[in-house]
Amino acid sequence: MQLDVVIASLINLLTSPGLLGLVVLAVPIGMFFGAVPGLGGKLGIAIMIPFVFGMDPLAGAVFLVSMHAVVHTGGSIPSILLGIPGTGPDAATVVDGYPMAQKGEAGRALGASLGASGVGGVIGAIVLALLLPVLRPVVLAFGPAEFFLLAILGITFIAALSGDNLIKGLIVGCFGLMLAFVGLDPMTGIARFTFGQLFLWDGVDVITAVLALYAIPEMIALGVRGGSVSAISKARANYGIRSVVEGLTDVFRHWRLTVRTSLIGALIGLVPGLGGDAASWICYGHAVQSSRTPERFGKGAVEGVIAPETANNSKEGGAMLPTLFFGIPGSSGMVLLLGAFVMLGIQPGPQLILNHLDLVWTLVWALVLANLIAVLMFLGIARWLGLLAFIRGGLLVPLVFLLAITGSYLGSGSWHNLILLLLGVLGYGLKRFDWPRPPFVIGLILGEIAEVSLHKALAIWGPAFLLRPQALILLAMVGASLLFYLLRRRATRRRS
Amino acid sequence: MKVGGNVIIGAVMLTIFAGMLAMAAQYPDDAGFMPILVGLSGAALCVVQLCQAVAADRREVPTGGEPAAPVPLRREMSLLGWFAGFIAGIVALGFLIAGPALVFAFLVIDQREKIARAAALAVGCLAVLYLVFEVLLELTLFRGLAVPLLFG
Repeated sequence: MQLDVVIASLINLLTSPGLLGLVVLAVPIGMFFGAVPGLGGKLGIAIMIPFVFGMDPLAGAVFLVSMHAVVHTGGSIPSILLGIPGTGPDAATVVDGYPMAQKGEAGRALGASLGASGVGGVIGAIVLALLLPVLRPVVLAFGPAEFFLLAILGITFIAALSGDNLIKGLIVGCFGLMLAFVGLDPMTGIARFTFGQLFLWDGVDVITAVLALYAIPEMIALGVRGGSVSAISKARANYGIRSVVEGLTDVFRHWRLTVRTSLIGALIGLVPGLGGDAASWICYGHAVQSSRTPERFGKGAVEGVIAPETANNSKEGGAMLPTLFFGIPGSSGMVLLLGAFVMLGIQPGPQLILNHLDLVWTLVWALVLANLIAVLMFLGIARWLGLLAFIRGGLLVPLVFLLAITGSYLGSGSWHNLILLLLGVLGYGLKRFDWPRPPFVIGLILGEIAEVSLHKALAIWGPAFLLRPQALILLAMVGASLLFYLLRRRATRRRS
Repeated sequence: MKVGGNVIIGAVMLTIFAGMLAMAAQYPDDAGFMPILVGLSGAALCVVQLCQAVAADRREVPTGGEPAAPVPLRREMSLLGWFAGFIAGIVALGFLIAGPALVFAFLVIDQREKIARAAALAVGCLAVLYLVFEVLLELTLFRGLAVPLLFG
């Protein structure tokens, strides 16, 4: 590693008022795109491309990377306070973040999300930096067989996320998988479960499905219950700066989980095609499975906020690797970032690491800096944001209905998609009768990856794909994950 | 015997899986393989769940203690109706007309909010929808299917 380039890039970023100003400007913009449901990082880049057009390539790239890096930091705000995920991956934060707000711990949840996002983003950038020299073999080691088994590994977490209701969880997971098959079959081109509707050819929109399964049921429940999101009165609740700081320290109290989920997130982001959306759910599943008290999850466990938030931000560092050095987007957001880089005159590919290492390191530092600035900015307003949890539910319900419908429309760009929000009725039924909802999202996100990869792996290697060395490692991980779950379940039953 | 919520949800899920399985059976092998595999697993699990839920409902005997709080079914139906109304209204009249109008209607009719406060919130919604999405982000929000028919 050329240390002089590493340090020179950092000094250049910190001493250049133009670049530093762009990072500071990009952070609130990125958080805004994350916080408004349906906008997200992809739309943010698309909208900001005209802004960077004609800029110096380095300045434009620093702005876009900084903005994209903190989208999920902003996405945690509506997830925790209103139960509305800003983007698909933020849905995992709702599972424990929203119950924390209901328990009067909105400040702590925001603090934990903030700290986890910052640490995750920094670790993601470190992973990016460390893997620079050994990148090629790592990325090329992943093929369809490994994608399929990684998806299966994610699906095995359905069991862990089902809690005491294993059968219910598996049913809901299968339902999510079935909805993932809606649309044009990637192998044969046949329209499946589309009922002749063109808008279903692209499949079920994840943001719409997540809004329907989470935001709508939560608001109906709030409307039925009355009061505010926080079930505890403002006088007794913990929403001051102390609780935000408590959440921040939770991230370091659970440092092992923080580091593990950051690394898992970065590695998942690294794999092109697996999709960063999977990262937050796989890490959430890992947090549940590795906890000594998994029964707390879904009821407001702070680890349930830390795990997906670290993964959400660290995966962006990982996803930058294949995007920059192979021109292969590591996540859906990176597709647009790739296009923007080309437009700015930066040609992604192996030559970048050979000829423009200074640019690469400046982007790595911009990732780190953007995450740190986001923490500081968010820390300043987190306390006031926490007060949202005490607004009367009656005022909140129609606004959230409208916001959720707007998010669904913006996420897909089709009014037909709004009809899918009626899944919210089923979502409310699931909530009302205590059916676990996280397995649905895991099934929906991983279903398509699993199916496409299986077909490809069978076409290339036949059933022998399971005997590839990396596949064997992943198979062992799937087996270990299931065994661990079964042993844990037995031990819990014995205890009770 | 009273039919419990778990039985209803289980039956709904079984119906969905059965319907999707029937459709998947018509597809070619490659396209139908995964849906049939997952659909059969889901349907089988639903049958097990239904058996468990029915058995649990049968075991349930009156305790004679304090009666449980009544299920606010009417309130639930009312809110689900409002939600469906929001979707229908926006599909018909678009975000800029139906959005603020529905927020106002919900606050006045459902929440018995003061008209001035409800109107202020509705105007706030319109301002956010128009200024943030249409002006600032230059996104075009859906105008509604009925608007061209009503206003030309």
